[in-house]
Amino acid sequence: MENAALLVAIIENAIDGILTIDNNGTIESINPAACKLFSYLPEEVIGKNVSMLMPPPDKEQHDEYLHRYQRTADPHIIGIGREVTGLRKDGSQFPFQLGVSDVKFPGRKIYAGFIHDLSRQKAAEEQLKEHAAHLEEEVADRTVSLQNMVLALQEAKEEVSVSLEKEKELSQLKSRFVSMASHEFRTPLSAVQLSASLIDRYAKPFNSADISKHVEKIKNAVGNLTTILNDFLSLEKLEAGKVEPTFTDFDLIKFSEEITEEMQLVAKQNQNIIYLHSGTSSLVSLDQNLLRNCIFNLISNAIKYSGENTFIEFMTEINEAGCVIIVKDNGIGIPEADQKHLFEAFFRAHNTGNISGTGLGLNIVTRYASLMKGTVAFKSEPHQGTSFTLSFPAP
Amino acid sequence: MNKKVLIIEDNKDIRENIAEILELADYQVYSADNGKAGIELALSNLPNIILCDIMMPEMDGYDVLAALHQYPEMKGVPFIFLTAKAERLDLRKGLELGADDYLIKPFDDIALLTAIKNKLK
Repeated sequence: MENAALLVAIIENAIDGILTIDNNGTIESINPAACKLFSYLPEEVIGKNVSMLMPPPDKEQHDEYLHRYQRTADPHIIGIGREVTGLRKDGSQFPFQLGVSDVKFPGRKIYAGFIHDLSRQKAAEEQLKEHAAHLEEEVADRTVSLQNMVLALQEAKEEVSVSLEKEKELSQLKSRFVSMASHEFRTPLSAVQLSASLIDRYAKPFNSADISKHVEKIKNAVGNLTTILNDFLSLEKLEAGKVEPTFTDFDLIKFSEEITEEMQLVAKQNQNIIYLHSGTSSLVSLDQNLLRNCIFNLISNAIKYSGENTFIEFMTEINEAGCVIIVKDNGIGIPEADQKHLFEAFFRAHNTGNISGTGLGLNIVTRYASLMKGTVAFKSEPHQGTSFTLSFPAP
Repeated sequence: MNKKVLIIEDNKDIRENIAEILELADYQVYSADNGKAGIELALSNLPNIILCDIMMPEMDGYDVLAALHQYPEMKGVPFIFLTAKAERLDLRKGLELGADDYLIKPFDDIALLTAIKNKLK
């Protein structure tokens, strides 16, 4: 008797639903957990066929299942368990794991069903599936937007490469133009220059100051235009990185004296270029062409921006630290506000007035100096004069 | 006897102006407007000095110089390039090929006469 009481207690308090049916499928007992699962009271189901707790197609076929087992003893659920669907009183359905065992009594057989609710598990699974689907959707969305982004990037890249290509073409065009101009302009300029020389010669017998004056003007204009062409060409070559210094050892004093002599020829009336060298050595290792160009430029500026009857000091010094070259004039000077822009290409100080120039000279000088590892510095006072210093470190 | 100068230059104005300046300075001048004619004039007249433009159609100044090098009678005849190219590499190329000097365009009568006088010394 104690055993029976224990069994009843277990069945009554089991968390899973338990019910028993007879040979014909009629419900004989049902525990509270099963009642709760199917939302029936015990009296509503006991004595009724168990198929009432099943939705179609099991509902119609349950009797057949039962008879087949009794006929063949071939179990489909019994002793195996299966996931099936239950039908509640209100018509709603729920999934559960069904375990069935047959219990043999003398003379008859009953079946006990163990019902383990899977609603929560299924709901969780559903939720998981939904999440997964949602994730997949999101991944798909992101993939699309990434693909769009990649496309946009590719387009942008193509655009950039097209503009780069255009810029390259333009730069080549500019390069070709500058090169063409600086070469092609020289041929007619030569004819002009030589014709001016001839006019000068043919006019000698007339001794006309007016003719001489105009011939001189033509020659100066040709000279100015040639300087501009040279500056353009120098700048173009610098921009294209085509200027490479060739360092050679040479005598700075001899080199400077030659420049002084040459520049004295183009100086104004009574404008004297005074050359001085200090230091025991006179040997330097620099690029002669670049250095000549720098000094020419600085002395030309000194000539241009100072008046007649002035001195232009041209000093060189070689000491332990290196080589210093100074060109100093007593000219119009550089306004303080303009000084910081002085080395910019095409910049001209505001007090240059109608003195001709391209604003390229000092830009080229700094670039040439830096190609030779040198620097350019200056001091200037308006109406007092300007002094430029080129410094090159000892090799 | 007047020194003979051969000018090879395709630009008519420049060629004529140079010739005129040189004639006024008492040189005997021969001129050609292309390289081939220049070489023929050089061989037939044996000038004391040759002025030659670099950029000319068909045969450029470098070709003319190289061609003249093949004739023994042209040995020692000073050869001066007239060039619109102010680039150092071009000038160096000319000197490496055996030119004696170059005049960068535009040049004036003084530069022209000085260069010729120096090479005829």
